[in-house]
Amino acid sequence: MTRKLLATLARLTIGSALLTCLVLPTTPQPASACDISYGYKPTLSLNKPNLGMGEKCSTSTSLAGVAIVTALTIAALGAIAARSLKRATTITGGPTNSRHALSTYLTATTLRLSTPSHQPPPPPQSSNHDQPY
Amino acid sequence: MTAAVPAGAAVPATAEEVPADVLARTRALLIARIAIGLYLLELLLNLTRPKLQDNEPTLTIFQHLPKTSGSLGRLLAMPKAVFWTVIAGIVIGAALQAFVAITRPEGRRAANLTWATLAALLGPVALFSLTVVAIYPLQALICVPGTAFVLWLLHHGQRFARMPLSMLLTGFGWGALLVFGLSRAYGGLLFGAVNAYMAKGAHNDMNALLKTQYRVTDFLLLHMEVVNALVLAGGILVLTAMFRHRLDLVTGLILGAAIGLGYNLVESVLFIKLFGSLGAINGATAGFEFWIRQSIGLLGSQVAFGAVLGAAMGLAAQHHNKRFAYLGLAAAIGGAIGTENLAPWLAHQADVTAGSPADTLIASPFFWLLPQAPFIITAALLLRTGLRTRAAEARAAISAELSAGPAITRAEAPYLMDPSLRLWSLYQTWRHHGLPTARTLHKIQTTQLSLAARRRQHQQSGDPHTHKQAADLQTKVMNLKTGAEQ
Repeated sequence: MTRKLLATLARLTIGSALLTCLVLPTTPQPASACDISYGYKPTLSLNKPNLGMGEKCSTSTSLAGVAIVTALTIAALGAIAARSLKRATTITGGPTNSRHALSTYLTATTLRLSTPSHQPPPPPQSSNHDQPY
Repeated sequence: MTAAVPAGAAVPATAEEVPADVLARTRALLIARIAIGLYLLELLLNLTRPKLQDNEPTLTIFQHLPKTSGSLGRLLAMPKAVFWTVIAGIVIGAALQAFVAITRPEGRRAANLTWATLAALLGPVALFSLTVVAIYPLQALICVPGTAFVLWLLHHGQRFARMPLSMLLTGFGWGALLVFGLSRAYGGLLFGAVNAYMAKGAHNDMNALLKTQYRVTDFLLLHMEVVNALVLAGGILVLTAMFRHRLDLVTGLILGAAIGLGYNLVESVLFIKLFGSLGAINGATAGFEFWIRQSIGLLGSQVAFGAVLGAAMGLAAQHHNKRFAYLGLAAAIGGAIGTENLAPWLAHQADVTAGSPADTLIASPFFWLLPQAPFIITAALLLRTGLRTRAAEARAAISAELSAGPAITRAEAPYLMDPSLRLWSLYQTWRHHGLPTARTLHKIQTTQLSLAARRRQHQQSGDPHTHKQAADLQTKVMNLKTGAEQ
């Protein structure tokens, strides 16, 4: 495993170094997209309209992108959580047995339950929640 | 991946012999001395540079920048007071070191003097970052939600025994204050010095001057990325020793990413403000910089490079093989420089109208993230590998803890071993017994996981401090269970 990881990291490093070596001689390069960081070097053409620059990457369009990414992130987290809960429900014996499984677990923790349950726990059944392990 | 090492095991032989707090101080002091030595060297280079104009100040950082100096000039501008505070800190730090060398204090007094020296030497460097945040508070404020979200992800992404939240936040602070501060301190001096050497004789030719500026920027980038990676690596070594935390793949990766996140936060503030105000020249707006740096690219840049470097250092510690760390350093430096050069080059090749919605939403972020993608993917794969190893270790540690005491019972073990069951139990407890009970249960679970991990660490390393920590954690679990502690 050590060799495999070393080899992966070595490939990554060599690849990055080669790409950098290939690109560095070609700089400075004017960029056609909106500038993001230090490496973007704008060129100004005095005899062209608007100094040869294109339009700005507008704040409103950018914020629309932020909204989309935020919504997608929340949806992805929600999906992961839902999948995880579904898996756990299956492990604990399905929705019908989940109250009993929870009750057994909380009893084992000896946790003082500050708020009593709304419904009495169902009669004890044979617990199978530790079978997968 | 099976070998276990004590806290700060990047230098295994030393770590086993030297107490962790002494190791942390030694490492921090060494880093501070190297950092200040390099700063003084750059100061000297700037002082002895050839003068391009007759009335130039002694140091280029004191130069009043013309309004047309561009975004780079403003990015490198620094208040004079900050510079003099750094110099005063160096003088005080040197005086304290001389005092220590003469009086040779021991024990707590020696520790206090070392921390005072470190505060004097490195504390003022943090002013570079704090100044940026203080000057642009609104820009800093809008970066908080995204940054807090990634910190939350990093904390919960560890799944089993997590590093203390204080350690994660200290890592974040290291990145925001020290990595960024030192990078900016060096950058200002180096830019002036290199520019003076390279622009000599070209100051009447606008074209040559512009090309020179670009070359200076390339050199500055190279220097900046090397410094960033080295200070980030130093942070991982110091913090793992300071918090007596075992350095493994997951710890290194999470800590590296947190340090990178801190750096990204302050850098984002600068770019949102300065590049955003130069839209007529560079096409960027404040919203665009926010979109790239704090939304779509939030897990990229220094977060990804820091994660790869940290993971490599963790592997180096686990396998007692420094080659991992060297490769991680090379990857982080190469990746950062490659991104800065490849992204604009790729953007230039694309046939996309600058500023169009397609450019803003797809082309620009795509070309920015494409060179970083191998590093982001590598970090994700390494995290997955590390978490699988941790899961196996956690199962073994929990099983061992069952026979060690009453803190973990047989019925609780399956829940601790499976993150899905833990989430389910918290959700169901919240539903049926309310939020306070769910929060207490969450505390019990995290303390139990920490207890199992610490006990296993003690069994493997024999460190008496981890034994005491395990005993304290066991008491805490019992107190939480009985309601003596909330």
